[in-house]
Order: sequence, then C-alpha cells, then structure tokens
Amino acid sequence: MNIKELRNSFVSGEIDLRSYYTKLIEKIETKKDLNIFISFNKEDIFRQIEKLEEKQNSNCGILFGIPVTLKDNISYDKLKMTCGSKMLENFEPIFNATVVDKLIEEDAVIIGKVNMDEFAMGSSSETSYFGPTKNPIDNKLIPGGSSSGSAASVAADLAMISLGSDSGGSVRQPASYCNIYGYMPSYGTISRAGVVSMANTLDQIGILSNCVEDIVTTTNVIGGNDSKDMNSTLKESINFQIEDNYNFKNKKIGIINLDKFEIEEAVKKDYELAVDKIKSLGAEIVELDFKYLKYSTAVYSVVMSSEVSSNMSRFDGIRYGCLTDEYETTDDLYINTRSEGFGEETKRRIAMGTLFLAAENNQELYKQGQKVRKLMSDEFDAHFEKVDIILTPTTTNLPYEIGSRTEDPLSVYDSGTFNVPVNLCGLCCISIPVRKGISGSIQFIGKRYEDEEILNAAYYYERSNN
Amino acid sequence: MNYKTLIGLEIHVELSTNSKMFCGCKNEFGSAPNTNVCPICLGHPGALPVMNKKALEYAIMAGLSFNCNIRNSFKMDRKKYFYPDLTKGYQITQQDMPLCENGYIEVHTKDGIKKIGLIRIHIEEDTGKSIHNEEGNTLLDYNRAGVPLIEIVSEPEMSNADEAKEFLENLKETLKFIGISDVKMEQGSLRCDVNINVIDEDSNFKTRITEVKNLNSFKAVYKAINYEEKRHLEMLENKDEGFKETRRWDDASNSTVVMRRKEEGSDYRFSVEGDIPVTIVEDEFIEEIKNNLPELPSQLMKRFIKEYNISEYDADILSRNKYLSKYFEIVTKEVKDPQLVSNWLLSDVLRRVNEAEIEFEEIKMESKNFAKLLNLIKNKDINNNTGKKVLRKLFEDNFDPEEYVKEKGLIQVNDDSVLEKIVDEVLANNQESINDYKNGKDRALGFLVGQCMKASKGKGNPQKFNEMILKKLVR
Repeated sequence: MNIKELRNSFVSGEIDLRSYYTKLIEKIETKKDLNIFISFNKEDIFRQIEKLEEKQNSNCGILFGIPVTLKDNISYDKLKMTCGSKMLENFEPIFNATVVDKLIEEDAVIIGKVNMDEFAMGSSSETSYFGPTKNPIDNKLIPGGSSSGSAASVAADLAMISLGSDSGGSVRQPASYCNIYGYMPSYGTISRAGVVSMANTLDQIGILSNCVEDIVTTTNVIGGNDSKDMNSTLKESINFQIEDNYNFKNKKIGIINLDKFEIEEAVKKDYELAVDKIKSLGAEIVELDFKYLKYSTAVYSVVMSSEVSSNMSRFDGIRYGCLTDEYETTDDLYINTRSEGFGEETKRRIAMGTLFLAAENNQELYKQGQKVRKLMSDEFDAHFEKVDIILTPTTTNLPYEIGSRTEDPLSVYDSGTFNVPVNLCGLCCISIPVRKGISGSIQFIGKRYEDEEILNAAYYYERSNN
Repeated sequence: MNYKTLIGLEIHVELSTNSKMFCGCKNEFGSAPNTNVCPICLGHPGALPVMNKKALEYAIMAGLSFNCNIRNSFKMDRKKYFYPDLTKGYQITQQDMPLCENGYIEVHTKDGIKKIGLIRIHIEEDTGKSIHNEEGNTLLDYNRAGVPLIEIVSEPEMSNADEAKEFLENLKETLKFIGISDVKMEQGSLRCDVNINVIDEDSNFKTRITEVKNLNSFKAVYKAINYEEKRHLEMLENKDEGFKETRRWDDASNSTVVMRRKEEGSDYRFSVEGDIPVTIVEDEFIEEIKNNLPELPSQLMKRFIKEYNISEYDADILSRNKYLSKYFEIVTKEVKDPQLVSNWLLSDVLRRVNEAEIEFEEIKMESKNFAKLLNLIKNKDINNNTGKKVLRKLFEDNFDPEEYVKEKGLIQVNDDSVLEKIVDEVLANNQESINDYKNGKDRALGFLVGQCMKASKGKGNPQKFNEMILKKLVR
C-alpha cells in the first residue's frame, strides 16, 4: 500500500485509525531489538489520533493518518531531540521544524524520533550515543547512516515514510543498505529551519520510503519557500508531477567507468545490471569522464569538518544540554562539557575542522577545498549540457557487520565517493534499489532544481524493474 | 625630534531597528534580563538566522553619509570564539567583504579641513552581556545578543586628541541626524576603541600599537589618547618600541591599565556563514536610500550660510546637532532675524543646556515660546537685560513670555516724556558725574544710564536714556 491508498482507507473508514496504530505500536515493541527509536511516546501518538478522528469527515489532509518517523536532529516540540548524542540526551526543543509543521498540517502522524549517528556524523549508526541501529534485513549488519533509524524504520515497515538529513549520502546510503528508496532534493527545496546543522551548506532534508510515488507526495507537502530559512527555494510551494508517459526514449543518461574507483565487486555488478536495464528501456548511454570526482571525499572532509567545527560550537553547556559537574574556570566548563558530551567521531571532525580553519596556514586547505568544490560544480554543469541524468552506484560497498570497522574510522569515509559530490554541488539525487535484499543501489543525479526529471525517471525505472 | 602621532578609531554602533539582526526579538534597551530572546538569538539547535532588511538599510545609510562605496553583493562570515555571552560560539559578522568601504569624515584643524579616511563599515550582531555580581557569580543577559551593529573602522589618520574628539562628535551627530542609532555611549549603543602609536619621522622608528578598549565617554577617549600619546612619546625617546597590547582606561587613577599583551592576534577561524546566502544589493536600492537621506550636517552648514547669511562659525555649530538646527530654523521662521536667533541660541541657550548637563533635545523651552521672547526683544518691547532674565526662567519653566512680561510689568518704557522725567531727575541728583563727564571721563555716562535704568526698575529703553543724556550734557 502506498500513501494515497492508506490515506483513502483511513478517510473512508475502511481501516480504523485507532486499531491500525494499536497494531503498529505492538509491531514496534516486537522490533525493539533493532534499536530504531530514541524517543517514542504512545500517549503522543494517541493524542494525534484523537485529533484526526475529530476531523475524519471534514477536511482530511494529504497525509491523513500516514505514519512518519523523524531523524532525531529534526525538531518536534513534543519529543526530545538528542541528535544521537549525550550532549543533548535530555534536550526538549521548544519549537517545531518547518517540515514538522507542514507534516502535521497535512495530518501525518509522527510516531517517533529515530536513531542516528551522533549529530549526523557517521555512516553506520555506530557513533550514536544510544548504540547502533540494526539492519532489518539482517540484524548483524549495519543499516548505514547517518539516517540509520530513518531507513530501518521504513525497511522494517514501522513507518511509511521517514525524514532524514543528507550531507554526504546520509539518506541515500542507508536507503541503499536497507534496500529502500532515498531522495535528496536540490539544496533549498526543503526548509532546514529546525534541523540541527551538521555541515550547513551540505545538509538537506531527505525522504526515505518504499516507493517513488510516496516520495513525490511527501515532497509536495514539505517542500517550498520558508521565511525561516534564507537558503530555501523562492518557489512558494512544490508541486512535482509524475508523468505516466515518461520513458527513456530520447533520454541521455551519463554513466561512469568504475575501474578508476575502489569498489566492491557486488556493487559493480548491480550497477552494470541497472545500466543494461536502462539501455534496454531505450535510453542513450553516454560514458562521462570525471576529472574531479576522485577528490570528492577529500574535498568533502575539508568542507564538512570546517562547517562542523563552527556548527558544534553552540553546544557549550551554558544554555541547554549537557553540563559538566566539574569546573572551576569558564574554560574548564567548556572543555569538560564538550569532552564529556561529544563522542569520538564528533570530536575528530571538530578537531579536523578547527585545524582547516586555523589562520596558521592561511586556511590553505579550507580555501583549496572551496576552489575544488567550485571546479566539481562546473564539471557537473558541463556534463549536464550533454546528458539528462547521471547514473552512479549509490555506495562503493555493501553493508558490513556491526563493529567490524570501528578500528579504522577513516576507511568508512570513502563509501561516499558518489554521494558527496551531489551535496557539494547542490544537485538533486535519488537512490533506487537494483534488486531485493542486500544489494547494490544506483542513484539518479539531476541538475539543481530539476528534481522532477530524476523523480520521473526513478518512477519509470521502478515500474519497469518490478 | 620630529614625531607624529597616529590615531585610529574603531567604533561599534548599535542600530535602533525595532527587531534584532537575525530574529524578530525586540531590540530594546533596559528590558528585564532575558525577556527579549528566542531560539534564534539563543543559538538553539536548528534555529537559523534571517537577515533584518532594515538593519541592512541603516548600515547603507551610514555608509552613504560617510561617503563610502557600497558593495553590490556581500556575504556574511562566522567569527569563532568561546565566551559565555556569545550564544552560538561564533558571531555573525563580515570579514573580507564589508558592506561599505573607503569613506571619510571631515574634521577642522588649525590648518583647515582634514579628511579622516574610513577603511570600512561592516554589519554584525552584538553579543549578550555578562554581569559579575558581588558574590562572584556571573549572570548572563542575552537581551543584547543579536542586536544589529555596525563597526566603523578609521584609518590611523588622526594626530591628536582634539581631532579624534571632533571625528567622534561628527560621527555621532551624523548618525543621530540620519536616525539609525541613539548613539548613547552610557547605554553602550556607541562604543569606541582607540588605536594609537607614535612615529619618529626622522628615523622612522615607531612604537607598537596600543589598543585602548571599552571607552565609555568622549571624555575618556580624550583623556586616554592624551595619556597614551605621552606614554608613547616617552617610549619613543628611549627608543623603546613597547608591546602590542590592549589597555583600558581607568577613571580612578586617570591612566590606562594593561589588559593583555598580544604578540599575535587571536585566531578567530573565520569561515563563510552559509546560512545566509550571498546578498545582492541593487543600485536602485542604494539610490532610493540615498534619496531618502536627510540633510547632513555639512550640507546644512552650507545651506545655513547661504540662506540665512550667518557666519560660518555660527552655521557650523548650529548644524552639528539635529535638534538644534531644526529649532533654529523653526524659530527663525517666526522671528525673521537669523542673526538674532543664532546669537541667542549659541550664547545664552547653549550655555544653559551645558549648565543643566542635558542634551539639546531635552530642553523644556518650546520653540514657539522662545520665538515670542525674541520677538519681544526684537520689537523693543523688552530690553536685552530683561530678555536674559526672562530667558533664564523660560528655560526652566516654559511659559508664554508675552503674558509673563505683561503680568510682571516688564514691558520696556519707550515713552519719551516718561523717560525724560527720569533723566532729569537722575541728572539733578548726580552733579558730580556730570562734572566728571565734562572733564573727559566717559565712564560717567555709563553710570548715569545705569542710574536711569535703576530708576526705571530696568524697564526703560537704555538706548534712549543714552541719547537723552548725551543731548543734555553737550560738552
């Protein structure tokens, strides 16, 4: 069932809201060992249900009764917002993120806040203060990250859609590992107001779901201009249309030669499978040569950690959140609070960013990073002169076993080779599973603000692939 | 030794917008602590800054008033440091692309008008305030966090305390004129730091720059500069370049005190503020602001000279203060004698303003009453002396002077027959003075007029007394 069908069943009374949610809550209880939820509150769910019951016969919203989970860096004033960190373990936000207001406006049911890598830093969920989320397909495996709980909640059928955040693949990579769809719109399409910044020029709200159509429905609800976010699109509202007669004939799809990259064999095979499929559907395949793609993780590391170092500085223990018990001077207060409150990966990135921004070397790497970022963006622009869509694997590998790579924190950065350029250049992207089960995924990358193209392509591919 | 003093000023000015720089919170001085705050100015996770267009407009107004170039597109930057009154761990400011650049402010020196260059004017947000109480606790008030500021940075082109003082006065009055700040130093809406060093022009040996921070009055700025100039000259004489250091002015000891020595500047780890996109400032927008700017002191001065035919000196003083210049024009319209109005305003009225230690805009005496008083004088309904006495009262209590002089019987006596009677009486009683006068002692005439005034209880027309006595005492 998709959003439209479930909504209509609720509206018509065919499915009873209350019993649906009673069952859903039971199901959530039985899957507790997956460690998906950080905050989950039955009373809050039934409070929302009550409200919906009152209006059942009048104006039902587009998402009437649809169960949604939120990554725990998205502010919802009825539940804690921990960001997966001890720093905000007991933090209760006092306002809603704009996306949350928009979901509620259209009668979605927010069922809980889900697990994530600490402050969205990580790609396995292992940096969460609340322990790793498990992959619903195989609970020995990581579900990906940082939007681990979002992907897992959808894959485990505990939510129909989940909102995550994506700064370098944090929606698409877990979607791929959990074998679902993950969409990251063009920068600015969805407001970031109320979303805790990790690397603010890269962060985007993304949507995880079991099908493309639900992603489109949700984007149309939560997208559009927001006066609280100066980077949000000027378009008052988003109204993406699925075209039933979209096809790949007369479409040019750019692919890349994977030989230049370190990439797992299984992932490569699934990519080739997808390319063949798309070719057979009539698309013209164009092999593109990328000069700067191989620097993507390096550039990403510099840009991301530099932004992290400033975005994390507000967590100083003074106004909210974790505060150390032991301090004598103000400096002690900062140092001890931040030492106790932040996890290892967060500290690592703050330290890196601080170094990149230090005046000592004239901010050489920071400036260089910004330059290469521009070059990458120009390269994508040039390629989009020739092709409609660029197709890459979502990740370079398949999910690995929880705990198997914690010794080598830097090795996990490279899985984002194909993810991060999209964020660096403000493009749009959707990750699509190639096969059922643990498999490789592909991503359709589109030009900035041409999200409709990749969504239609994904929808067409989805139907042809099933 | 041939030396030169180099003084540069850095001035922070709080803009008097209704709301803060990046959120809708009230921008208001004196509210109860932490009542004008929200998630944005408190730096709550997820809160994003939204630029206050009015603040931008105000900053451009300042730039235009000080002859700056206005940038057509600008970005904001983050300046990072940890301090309890800084809510986000960084201050949103402008580092390498200030909104306004390359302006100047004119000051009068004995060698004529001197242009002091302005390097830049940029926009930024203010921080909160730490209050250290007697128990040794630090209390934090975030009402000021996020209040819009402009920072004005001058070239080190002032050579003495007088120039710095005039620069500051000019700056303050201009900002008041254009109405973008209440420029109250005691409330922190205008804050000044001084950079100073001296250079031996023969040998090019110079002392290291001292920064004197947090000066809270023009007087303190003046004193601190003089103190530092002397200190630096002594260093220069001893060929001691000193330290690059930050000092503060200590009122109690009348001297500056070292706060910290910095061999190298702090590292603020500047980076781009990505939450605020690059902003385009259209020429039309700048033009519109320019057209709406009020007349500035320098323009006013020129107009006053031309329109009212008063001296440059008078026009200069009148045009420096927004309220004074307005008052002058309103009163002049009623009295139709600009020189008379100017004379009275600049001498008697300003003296009273200074004595009362108030700002001109705070005077109680309404312009219409002052105009009436001057008309009484101009029409010789009262004499000058009476006028001064009435002014003293009028300044305190603001009443209708026409009624007052009638009530108190202060109307000048111009009737020749009445005056002549008094003169005759006085002459009859002062034969000695008459003799003195005839023997060439001119002072005796003044005495006789004075006696006439006394006899008329101050109401007689002194000129007429003078003329009559002269006529009667032909030598």
